[in-house]
Amino acid sequence: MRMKMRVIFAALAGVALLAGSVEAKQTDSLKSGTPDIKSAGPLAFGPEGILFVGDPEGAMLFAIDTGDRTAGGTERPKVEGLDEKIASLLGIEAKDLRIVDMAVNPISGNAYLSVARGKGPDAKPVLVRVDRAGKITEFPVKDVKFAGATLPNAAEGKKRQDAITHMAYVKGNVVVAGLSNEEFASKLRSIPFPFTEGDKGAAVEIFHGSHGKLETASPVRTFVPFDINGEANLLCAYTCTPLVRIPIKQLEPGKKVKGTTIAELGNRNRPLDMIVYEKGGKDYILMANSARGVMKIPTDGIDKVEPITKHVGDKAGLKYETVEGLKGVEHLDRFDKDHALVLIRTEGGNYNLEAIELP
Amino acid sequence: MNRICWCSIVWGMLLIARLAQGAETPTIRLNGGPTSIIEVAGLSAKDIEAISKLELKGEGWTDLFAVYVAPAEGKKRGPALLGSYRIEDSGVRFEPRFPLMRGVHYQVAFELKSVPGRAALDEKPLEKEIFLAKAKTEPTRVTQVFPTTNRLPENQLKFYLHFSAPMNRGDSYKHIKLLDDNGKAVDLPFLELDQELWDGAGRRLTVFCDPGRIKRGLKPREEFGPVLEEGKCYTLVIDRALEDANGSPLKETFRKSFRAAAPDDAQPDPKTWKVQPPMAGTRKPVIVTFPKPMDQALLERLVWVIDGRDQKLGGKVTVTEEETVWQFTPEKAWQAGTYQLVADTRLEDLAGNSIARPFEVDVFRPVQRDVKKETVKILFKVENPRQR
Repeated sequence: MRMKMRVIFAALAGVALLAGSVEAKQTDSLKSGTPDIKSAGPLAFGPEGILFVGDPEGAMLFAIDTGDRTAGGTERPKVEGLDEKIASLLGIEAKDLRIVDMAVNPISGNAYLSVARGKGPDAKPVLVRVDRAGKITEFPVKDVKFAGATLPNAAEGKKRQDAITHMAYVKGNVVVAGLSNEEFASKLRSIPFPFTEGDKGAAVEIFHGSHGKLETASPVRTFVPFDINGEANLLCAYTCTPLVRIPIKQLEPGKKVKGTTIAELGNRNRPLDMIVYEKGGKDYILMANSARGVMKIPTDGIDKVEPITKHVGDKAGLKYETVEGLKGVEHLDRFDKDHALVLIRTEGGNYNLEAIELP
Repeated sequence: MNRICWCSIVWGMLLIARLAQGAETPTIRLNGGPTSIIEVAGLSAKDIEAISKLELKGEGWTDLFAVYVAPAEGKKRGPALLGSYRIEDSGVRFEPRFPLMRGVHYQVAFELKSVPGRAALDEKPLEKEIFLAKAKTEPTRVTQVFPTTNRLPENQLKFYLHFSAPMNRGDSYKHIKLLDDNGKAVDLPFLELDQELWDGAGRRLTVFCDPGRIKRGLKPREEFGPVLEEGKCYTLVIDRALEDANGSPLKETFRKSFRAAAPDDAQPDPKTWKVQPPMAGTRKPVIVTFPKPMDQALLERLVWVIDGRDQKLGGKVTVTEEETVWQFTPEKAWQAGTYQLVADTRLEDLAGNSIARPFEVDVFRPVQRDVKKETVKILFKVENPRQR
């Protein structure tokens, strides 16, 4: 009996050690310093409270240790006039503040915002934290543990830049979607994290096949990782409007990737943010859309949806419903298993932050 | 003596005592422009010591000393400016986290009553308004819009808008419209991205026509039709309400009128380009003429010249004749020999067809060229004049 207990303890210790060493591996690659972030870009959380920050002007991707690893309580933030309050702290008027992105740390429930202080080319990028109580503080990136990866195409000329439309941490990689301000190309990059010197990751060109006949480059506005039958996929919203799925294993260097259209979300729609959540044992996509409010899209049969190769009526492919009463949502992220955190632009032009129940 | 009398005497004695300490009247001072430090000077040594003993940290300071952005009419004041506080012999200093913004009204408040030992004096708070005027600048204007031509293909892909000075971003699409020949605005003609596609200097904005309406077979095109229709006239309007980085509107509204011609789905073909080599010993440009206008930004970046040793030549590129002519003037005089004009196959025409592939590849039509190479090269010879 004693021997058995010893074996069990040894096994548990071994597992703990292994878990500990896996944990240590992620933040171990980060070194103390002050990242030189030139512009406010998108955000995405990785493991262990590591915040990925995109810098389109500097053509860099930063991984910053927020040190924010304590599970929060049960409070949910509600802040009216968040933009006015942040502007006030930064010493500017609300009209000169640009809120670029918002990401919630899944560990603590603290929300992080990427904002630009000013709207000109010299606008200073600032990271702001809003905790569960709605308290707003700056997250200063001075003397923090961080690492940086250059986004390729960086030095192609002073005028040329890639806008980073969306980023997400997906199974050990940071996937970055962007489009150029010159050539019409759509690149999706998959950069392994921890970053390594030589490995620039895979860059693929994303294409859309219309009716299985006409193939065009298709920049991605936003995307969300989603497992379909155990296979890791990205659900991507193209700028030309189709919603497609792309198996992650297709993201190999130099490959040309065509997404499979799973929905034509209708005209005039501009997907802003998407999350995936579970309710009643089923998976749903929640999408904030500039024209259509917030849409709830069931994923039943997403693997079986006929790739849309023929023109069909308005709601082809996956069906969706508009969530009542949610207008003006510009940013959306998971908050906890039952809530999403949304940033709403009111009719008056100000921003309110609140948690909503996942529908 | 009644109570009022006693209070007056006590107040008077305290004041005399203070004056006897040689304290000046405390004032708020700003020591410069936007990167100023705001200081409360004129506090006595006793005051300063008392404040030190409070051991105020971070937000704890704001009840005593804080700077705010003056609230708009009818609005409440927001939280105090972020920054750091320091106690010096001369007074208490606040250094804002970020430089003060020109054109913004700030309010500084120092609560004298909160200084231990001054409470009984019942003084009003020290207040000061700070306003740093914006520098007067020439109004910004649109200097150019590419493509220059006023005959655009129906499937025109993008416009480059150039400004004389850096611009603000965030509301650009609100102020850029496409009007039809009745003066009516085309509904949502452009790809609207929150990020907006500016260059690093904030002086060039790339605006894409909605690809969902250019690409055939997609819902937006089915519902709304293409952005431009062959044979019709349009005006691109850049409203003067577009703000420059100073927050000022443009000098005037800019208009570019054009007619839509047939859609263009022909890939640029280097074999159709005319190359005119210069003479050796000169710094005259090599001139390349294209049968149709090309993308201006890509012409500047994706075409260059290499010498016989594959070395890229330094020099200046100019694009003229409504983007149908590309010229390269070398830094050093040409030497006789063979050179190559190199074009990156990502070079596009106005409809986004590149040397590598058309904008829309018809996967069933084998006639289209799918150029797999990254660059194409055209040889040209530079000869000495006497060799003619």
